[in-house]
Amino acid sequence: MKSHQRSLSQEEIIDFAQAFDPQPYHMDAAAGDASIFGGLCASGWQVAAVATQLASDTLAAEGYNPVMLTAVSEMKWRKPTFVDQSLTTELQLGERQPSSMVPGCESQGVEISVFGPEAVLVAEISAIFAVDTSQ
Amino acid sequence: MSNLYLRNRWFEDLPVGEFHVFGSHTFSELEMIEFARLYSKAPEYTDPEAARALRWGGLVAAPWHICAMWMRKMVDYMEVYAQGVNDGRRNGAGISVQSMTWLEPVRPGHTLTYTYEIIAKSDKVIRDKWGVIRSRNEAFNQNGAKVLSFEIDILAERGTD
Repeated sequence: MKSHQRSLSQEEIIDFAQAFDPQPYHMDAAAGDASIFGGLCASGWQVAAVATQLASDTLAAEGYNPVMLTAVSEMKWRKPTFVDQSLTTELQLGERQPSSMVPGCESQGVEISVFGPEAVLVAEISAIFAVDTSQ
Repeated sequence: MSNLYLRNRWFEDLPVGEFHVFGSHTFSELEMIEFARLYSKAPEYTDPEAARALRWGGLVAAPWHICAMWMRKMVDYMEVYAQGVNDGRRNGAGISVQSMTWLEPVRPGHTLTYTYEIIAKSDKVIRDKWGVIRSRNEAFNQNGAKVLSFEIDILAERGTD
């Protein structure tokens, strides 16, 4: 399953960083250029949030009734996400468990691959969503 | 002596077992909604009225908001204990997360306290100068209930000696 795309503007990246991750390479172009990332880039937490929202939207569109993200068994940040780069996700369904921390839900494992431009793998997220199976 | 020591540590100087209580934050309804409108659009996180009829019986913080605040508290803490240090002893990037679970809902007015413990150091050397530190991170609410737990691998610059 493939998701829609979303990009992050310079303003969105800097706004998020000022609120939650005020490190130079997320707020200032020159500092980004000089950093290990090689440019102003989004906080990894902002990328994680955007990617799981894209994934959740896709699950909803496909009829899986995602209620919330309850766990991430593994997440790897592979590449930085720079200003205005388009992010998309590709989902593979994993294990389904009959119980969830959310009442009335089951747990659905979802492998989320997050891609930037030219199909570069930006992040990998092994997520567990609570899904409502009563509907 | 202890302050200077904390502020000047390379990868080699960080001991497994070191434990820090590094910050607290009280979540307001407004900030929860602002975060969720941008990053976690679901009525549980964005709409106090609608949330009352939903499964938590009220508005709760989006999972990534709880993590984003972890990051903020960590950066603020480094600001204090690595003040004046502007290299990889302070600004090491995170590379991966393991075993992250959100255990309890966080509601408006709840106060979370964040902790970390260094649990492992890898022998890997990345780009000739970075080591990898694994820490266990937890957040507890005002009643002492654990609401978030995860492990994260973060780069720490190796000493040049």
